[in-house]
Formats: sequence, structure tokens, C-alpha cells
Amino acid sequence: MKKLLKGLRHSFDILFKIMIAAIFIFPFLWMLSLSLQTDEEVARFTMLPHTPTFDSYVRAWQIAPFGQYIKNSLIIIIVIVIIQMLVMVPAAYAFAKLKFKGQGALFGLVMIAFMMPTQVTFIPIYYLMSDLKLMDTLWPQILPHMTNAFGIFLLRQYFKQVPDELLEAARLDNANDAQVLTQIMLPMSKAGLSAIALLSFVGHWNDYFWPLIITNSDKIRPITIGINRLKDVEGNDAWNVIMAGNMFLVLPILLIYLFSSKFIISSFAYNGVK
Amino acid sequence: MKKLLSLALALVMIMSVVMVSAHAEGEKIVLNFWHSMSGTNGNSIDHMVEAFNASQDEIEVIATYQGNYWDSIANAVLAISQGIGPDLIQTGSGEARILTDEEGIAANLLDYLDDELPYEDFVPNFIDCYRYEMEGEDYLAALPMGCSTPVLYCNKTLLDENNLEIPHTWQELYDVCKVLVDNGIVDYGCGQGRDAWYLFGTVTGWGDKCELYAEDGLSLSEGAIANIKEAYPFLQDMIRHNYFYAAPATNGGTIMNEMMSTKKMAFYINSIGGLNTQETNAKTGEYELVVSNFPNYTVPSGGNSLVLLEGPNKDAAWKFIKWIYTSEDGLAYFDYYSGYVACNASSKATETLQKKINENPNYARAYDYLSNVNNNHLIRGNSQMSTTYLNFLDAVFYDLEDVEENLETLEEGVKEVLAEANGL
Repeated sequence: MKKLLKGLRHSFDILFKIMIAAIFIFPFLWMLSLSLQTDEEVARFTMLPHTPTFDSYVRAWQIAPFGQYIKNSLIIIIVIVIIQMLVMVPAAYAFAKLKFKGQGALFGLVMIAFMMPTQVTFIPIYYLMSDLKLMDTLWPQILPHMTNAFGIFLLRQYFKQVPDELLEAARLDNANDAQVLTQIMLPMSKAGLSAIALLSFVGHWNDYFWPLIITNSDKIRPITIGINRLKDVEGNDAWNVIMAGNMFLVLPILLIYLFSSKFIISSFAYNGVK
Repeated sequence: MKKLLSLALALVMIMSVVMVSAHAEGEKIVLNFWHSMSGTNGNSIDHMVEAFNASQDEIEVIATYQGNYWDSIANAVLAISQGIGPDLIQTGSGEARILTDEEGIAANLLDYLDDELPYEDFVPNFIDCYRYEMEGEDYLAALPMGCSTPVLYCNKTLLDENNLEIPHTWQELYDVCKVLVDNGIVDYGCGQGRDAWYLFGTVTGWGDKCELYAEDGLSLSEGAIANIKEAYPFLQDMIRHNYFYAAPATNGGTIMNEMMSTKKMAFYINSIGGLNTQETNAKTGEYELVVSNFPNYTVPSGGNSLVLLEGPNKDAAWKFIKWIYTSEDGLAYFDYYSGYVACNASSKATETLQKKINENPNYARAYDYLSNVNNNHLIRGNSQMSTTYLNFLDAVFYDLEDVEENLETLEEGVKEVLAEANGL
């Protein structure tokens, strides 16, 4: 009886997980299916394409300069991630391992920034970028994201878990703060750093509203703006073309997750963050 | 140390790529043209601009998509406030006044219209609504561009199979839908999207036709109030019987296109700008598509308009505008591929559009209904009214709430918005 109950529980457990997985995976499969359908199949609400075609991908690519948009997105995000690492790592180290006056207040300011909705800052930052004559460049999409309060918070938690004894031992060997940071803290926090870099990548890859406001020309727009161009202004949308465009958007993220899922899982498992 | 140096070098190289700056090529005047055309309409704009640029050496137009009409207006307001706005902007016909009501933003086009492109070249029902008094001066704020009217798309095959005529009035539509729905031939009679646009046509064309707003422009007219009290209970009755389907707020167009192509619905009230999609639906569903008039004929026009903004490049921008309205590759090309109707005689007379009119009887028929266009609702403040009307429609169509109770709320809302817009 006990074995039967255990078996049932186990089966139910598996079924439940399959159901949850299906709920999450289905939209992506549906998107892929739509992107391979013809106009007639889309009009008839078809689940699977009878004659899969890449025609929608070609049409989507031709509607907007997606090559330029993807290039812009990659440049913006790579620069953001690099600058964020250069800013967040020392900040998190200072908050985690150093003692200085006003530390609590400064960290409080970081948490306030964490809680502030970004929309509140859009207009003042727009005016600032305009006054600095940066409007026709990629900088307005990079500079406001130079740091990330959540990243500082998360990294601080990682750094706090590094035993102080290790740092003391390093200092006994005449290591300075830079050496402690680069040779002890960073190697021990690879999982956390990877997770933050990935989350930043995904978050900024999907950014739409700020680029829409701050960019006025195609040569500096990211891919999210390009997706919006696929919708029909009269509301008669070609969903196969829109989904093909969304595949351009989603594919890089899926590939990154495919190759780095271990990092993400281990980073959250390491410090017990759920 | 080496690693740090490599990283710094890489950063400098990336940063140099980041510094992209716009500059004019040679001696050409560069015009920034902002538009809201996406999808295939966007391609038509791109073609139009490429053709203009190729046709002369003085001016280079850069067309940039700015999102939907509301997004583009928001962008324009921010950019103009910083002195980096475009030279001309295409925006929604209902949204243009948000820009043009502010002094010093839009140029007076009456100063530019000439013998090659006179005022009289335009369809009066499309252009008159942009002409009003501004600071005591006769002022033309915008030109109509992609013009559309709501029409009734009909599955003619279904009607013929059931010996039914195409309806031209709301009562006729009711009667035809009753036969089709009650006999199980279709699930729904007629569908309509969620848009205040259709309210303008329904109210002004109902019974004793009327204007939407009172003469002082500060409230709904008495005729409109009376018509709402009759029209919307009538439509609610149609909804209860599935003779009328009020599409949901999200993806309503997609749902109704699917219903038309699978013959679950016989009629669809939509813009003439959607003709291409309806023809695809008809091909998929293997039925004959016929375009007929919006019930009771009176319609608002919609689509978009072109605003020439004050700035150093006005004269050059005017050359581009004139070319748009007179060239085979200008508005004529845009209308040909978009399904919008020509708003001026010169565009309509082009070979491009004459070809479409001669080949496509549905498109030709849309021109027959232009004399019924009533755009007198495009007064100061109307642009800000969308939410007020949509709240009314949602209550009356989705929740089937009492029309007169919601009309009181609508009246108050309209008065409030119009008073604010007029600085009262």
C-alpha cells in the first residue's frame, strides 16, 4: 500500500512537472508554428503548418533593417554589461567587506534606487541626453543603465559568503584590495557574476519603451523596435510575420540559456536564493 | 595587467563604434520625416521616400517609424521641446490637433498651397476639418494623407445562397443578420472593432442625422444625445441575439478576420484600409467579398494626416509634400498598396490609382461613399476624448449596462475634456 501511494505520488509529481513545463514551453512552440505558416493557414487558426515555409522570416527581415537593429542591440548590451561589471563589482565588494563611514546610508540609497520605477526618470534623462548632444548615438541607451541596484545587492550577498579568513590570509601576504578582489572574490563568485550578466543581458535585450522614446532614427534602434514595425497599423496583423520577427528576438536568448543554464541554476542554488 | 590593458583596448574600440552621428551628405538638405506606418504600409512609405530622393539632388528625406500615432506624438512633443523635432510628421487624423493646437508648432499650410497643389485639389470632407481659426488667422494645420472610412465588408456568397440583399441601414443589417444567425448559417452576424471611430459614424448617421458636438464645441449636441439613446439599445439587442459582435480590446482584428475567413461571421465593419486583408480572408474562405457602405451611410474619415512643422527646412519640406500629392510614386503608390483612398484629385488621377480603381470594384466603391464623410467632430479636445468614448462603449457593449445611465457619465466626461482643452 505504501509502495502504491509512493508510486502514485511520484507519477503525479512527474505529470504535474510535465504540465507546468508544457504551459511554459507551449507559447514558444506556438510562436515557432505560426512563424512557419502561410497567410491562409494563419487566417484559419491552424495549429501546425501543413506546408512549413520560411517565407515569413524573409518578409519580416525585409520590412525593417533587422541586421542594423540586431547589431545595435548587441553593441548596447555588451557595453552595458561590461560597464556594469566595472561599476557593480567594486561597489558590492565595498559594501560587503569594507567598513567605512556612511556605509549603511549609501547602501540605503542603492536600495531606494532599486525600488524606484524607471519611468519616473525618463523625461529628466531625456532632457539630459539632449543637452549633452548625445541623442543621435547609442549612449542614451547605455549610460542610464551603467549600474544596476539589484546587481549590487545580489553581488554583495555573494561576496558576504566568502569567508573573511581568506581575505585576512591574503592581506597577511601583503595583498591589496585590488588583488583581493580580482584573485579571491571574483573567482569565488563566478556563478553570481554570470547570473547577473545574463539577467542584465536578457533585461536589456527586451527593453522597448526607453529605446522608443530616446531614439529617433533606425541607425541607433534596437531589435525590439523592429518587432513593433511588423504590426499592421490598421490592426490586420500578419501573425506569421510578427512571430518570425519574434523568433529573431527570442533565439539569441534561448541559445544563451541553453549554453549557460548550469551557471544560472548553480548561482541561485549556491546562496539559497529561490 | 595585460588582461586589464586588453579589456581597456576592447572597450575603447567598442566605444568608437558607439559614437554614431548623423550628418548631411554633400550639400543636400536633410529632412526628417516621422511616420507611424508599420508592416507593408511602412514599406510603401520607404518606397515613396526612396523614389523622391532618387528624383532630385537637392533634398534627402529620412523617414523614420515612430511607433503608433500616440507614441509618435509623445516622441514629437519631447523632441520639439528640445529643439530636435522632425521637419514633418505623419500622425493620426484624430491626433494631429494635439500638436497643431499649440501655437508655433505647425506651419500654416495655406501659405504654401499653390497652383500646382491648390486647396481645391483635396476632397473637402477630408481637408476642411484641418482648417480653422488660430489667433485670428485662417489656418490650415495639416493635410490629409492616408485616408480611410469605415465600410461594411460583406460575404456576398452567403447572402446569395440565402437570397438576401446587402444591407445599407442598421435596420436592414439587423434583418439580414437575424435570418443568418437564427437559421444557424453563421455564429455572428456582423463584427465591429473597439474604436470610438465607429461611434462617431453611428451617432451622426442615426435617424435624424446630427453633428456630434454642440455648436459651442463644449458638449455633445442634443441630436447626438437623442441618437445615442436610440442607437445603443438597438445595438445591445443585436448583441444579445449574436447579430452583432463587439470585438474584444486585444487582438479583436485577428479574431474577426478568423471569423470571416471561416465563415462564422457574415459582415465586418472595418476600415477600407484593411481591404487587402479582407481580400485574403475571402480567398481563404472561398467567398465573394463585396464592400458596402457603413450602415446609414454617414461616416467619419480616419487614417492619418501630414503636419509640416515650423523650422529651418520648411520650404524644402514643402517640395517633398507637393511631390507626395502629385507623383505616381507618392501618395498614389502608398494608397495603391495600403488600401487607403486618395484624398486629392491629383493622386486619384494618376495611372497608378486609376489602375487600382479600374481593376478592383471594391476599392472603387469606397470612393462612392466619400460624399458621406462627416469630420465635424475633429474639434479642439476631440483628440483627448478616446478613453471617454471607449469607457462608454465597453460598458454598453461588453457589460450591456444601461445606456442612459452610462450616457450621463459620457456627457460629463465629454464636457470635462472639452472644457480643459479650451482652457475653461
